[in-house]
Amino acid sequence: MIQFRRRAFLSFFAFSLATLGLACSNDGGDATETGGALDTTAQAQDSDASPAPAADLPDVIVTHSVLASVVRELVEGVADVVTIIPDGQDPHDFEPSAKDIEAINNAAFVVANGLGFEEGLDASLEQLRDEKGPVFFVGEHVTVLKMADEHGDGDPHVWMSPASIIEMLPDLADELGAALGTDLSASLTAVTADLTALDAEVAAIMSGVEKCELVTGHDEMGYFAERYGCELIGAIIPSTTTTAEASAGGLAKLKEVIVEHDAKVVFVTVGTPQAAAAKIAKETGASLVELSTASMGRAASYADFMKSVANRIADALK
Amino acid sequence: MTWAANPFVDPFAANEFMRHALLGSVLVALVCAVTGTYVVLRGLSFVGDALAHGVVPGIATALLLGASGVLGAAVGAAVMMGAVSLISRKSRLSSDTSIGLAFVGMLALGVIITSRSRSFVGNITQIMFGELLGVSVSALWWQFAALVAVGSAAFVAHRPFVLMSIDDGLARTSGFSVTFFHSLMLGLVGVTVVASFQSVGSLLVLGMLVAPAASGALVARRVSTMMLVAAVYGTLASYLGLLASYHYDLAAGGSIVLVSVVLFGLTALAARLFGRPDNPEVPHQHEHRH
Repeated sequence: MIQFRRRAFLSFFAFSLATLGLACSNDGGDATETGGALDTTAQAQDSDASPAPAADLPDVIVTHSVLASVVRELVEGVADVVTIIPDGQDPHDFEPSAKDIEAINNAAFVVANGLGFEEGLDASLEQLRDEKGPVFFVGEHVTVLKMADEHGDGDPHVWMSPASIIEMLPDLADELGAALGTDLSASLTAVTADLTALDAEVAAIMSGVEKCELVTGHDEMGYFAERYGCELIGAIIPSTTTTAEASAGGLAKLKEVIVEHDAKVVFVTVGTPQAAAAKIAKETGASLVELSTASMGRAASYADFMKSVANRIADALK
Repeated sequence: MTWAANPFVDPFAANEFMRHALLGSVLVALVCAVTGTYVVLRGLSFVGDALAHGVVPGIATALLLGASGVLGAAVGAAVMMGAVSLISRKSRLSSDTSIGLAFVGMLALGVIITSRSRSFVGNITQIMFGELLGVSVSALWWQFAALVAVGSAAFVAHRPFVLMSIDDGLARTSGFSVTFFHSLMLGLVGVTVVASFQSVGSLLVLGMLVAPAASGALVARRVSTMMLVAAVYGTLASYLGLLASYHYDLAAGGSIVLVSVVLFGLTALAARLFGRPDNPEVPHQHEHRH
C-alpha cells in the first residue's frame, strides 16, 4: 500500500513538472506562417470575403465585418482581408475557435475594434499586444464617446460614424503599410475622400428627419446620433453590450419614455431580446424595426452599409 | 420614475408585461411545487440539473432549423434520459457518473451547435436564463397545459410516489413497479423543464424545483402539505422577485430564484429556532441510490 502511494505520488509529481516545462517552453516561440492553410477555412466562414486571392497576397485579419469592409478598401490589391466573426453573429457574444486564434497569431496584421467590443477575443488580442505583435485597436485612435454612467472604456460602436473612421485611418495606414512593407498613402487619400463624401450623403439623408429620437436595442447608436443630430432616448438593454440582461424596472422606464416622447419605432438588432422588445412595442403601440448595426448583410461596401442604416432610420421616422 | 400610490401593486397594474411575467412565473412555481417535492424527497436534483442542461442542444438545434423550441427541448430531454439509462445499464458506472457524462456532453454539444451557426436566433444565455419579461401568451398556455398534465399524473400516482419517497421496498411490497414509477417521475421532471424553459430558462427552473420544495420539507409533515408549502413559497418568490427586478433594476429570473433560496434560508432558521415536527411521510434527507 505504501509502495503504491509513493509510486503514485512520484508519477504525479513528474507529470506536473513535465507539463509545467512544456507550457513554459512554448511561450514566445511561434512558427511564422502567413495564413496559408488557414486562409480557406476563414474564407469559408466569411461570406463577403474578396474573390479568390491572387498569387500570394499576405493576410490582414479584421475582427468584424463592418470594420473589414473599410480595411478592404484601404489594402485593395496589396493584401487579402479575412474576417474572424461571421457576418450576422453578435460580436459581443462571439467565442473564437482554436483555428480563429491561430489565424490571429499568424496574421501579417490584425485590426481590432477595441474598447472591449470583441469580448471573446479580448484575451488573445491583449496577448498579441503584450508580445508587441502587429495589432491595431481602432478604439485607441478615435475620440471615444464616454457613457454617462458607465465606468468602462466608453462606447465601442465607433464604426457607426464615418467621421470616426476618417479619424483613425491615417494611423492605420501608417502601421498597416509598415507591416506590409508598402506605402498606402495614395489609398489613404482615396478612401478618405470617399468617406468624406459618404459623410455628406448620410447627413443629407438624416436632414430629412424632423426630430430624430431613437429607441434602440442596446446603446449602439451613440456615434451615429452624435454625428447626425439624433437623440438617444432609451434602450431595451441600457448597456453598450448585448450580454447584459433586461430588468423589469428598465423595461417599465423605457415604456414611460416611449410614451412621453410619443416614439413610434423601436430599433432592434442582433442580440436584442426579441420577446421583451415585442412586448414593449405591443404595450406602447410602437413598431419594431430591425437595424443592422454590426453586420453587413447585403451591403457590398461600408458606404452601402451606412446609407442603408441611415435610410432605414429616416424611413421609419418619417 | 414616479412613485405611485402603491409600489407593491402598481408595477403590475400599469404593465401588461409584468402581469404576464407574474403569471408565467407562478405557473412554473405550481408545476415545480408538484415535481420539486419528489425531486427533493428522492434526491433527484442532480438529474433535474442534468435535464436543465440536456435540453439546451435540443432547443438550439430546433431554433436553428426554425422549429419550435419546445419541441427541441422535448427531444433533448428524451435523448438525455435515454443516454443516462443507456450508460448506467451498459456499464458498471453509477447513475451519478452517467448523469454527469450525459449532461456535460449535451451541454457541450449545445455550445458547439450555437457557435457554428452563422446567425443564431438567440444565444445560450437566453436559453439557460429565459426571457421571463417577454413571455408570450402561447408559452403561458403551454405551462398551463403542463400544470394540468403533471398535476393529474401526480394525483393518480400519489400513493406509489409517496411510498417510494419513504422506501423503494415499501412501494414494491405494495405491488407497485418501482422501475415504472421512477421513470414516470423522471418523465414529469422532464415535462416540467421543457414547459418552463421559455419563461425562467432551463437552468433557473432547477432553482424553482428545489428551493421551494426544500422549504416545504423543513416544515411539512405530509407530502401533500409539502407540495402546498412549495407552491406558496414559489408564488411568493415570483411576486417578490419581480418586484425586486422592477424597483432595483435586476434580472427577473435570477431575482426570483434568489428570493426563493433566501426564503429557504429564513425558513431553516425559523425551523431551528422553533423546533421541527415529527415527519412520518417526509423523512430526513439521505442519499438515495438509483
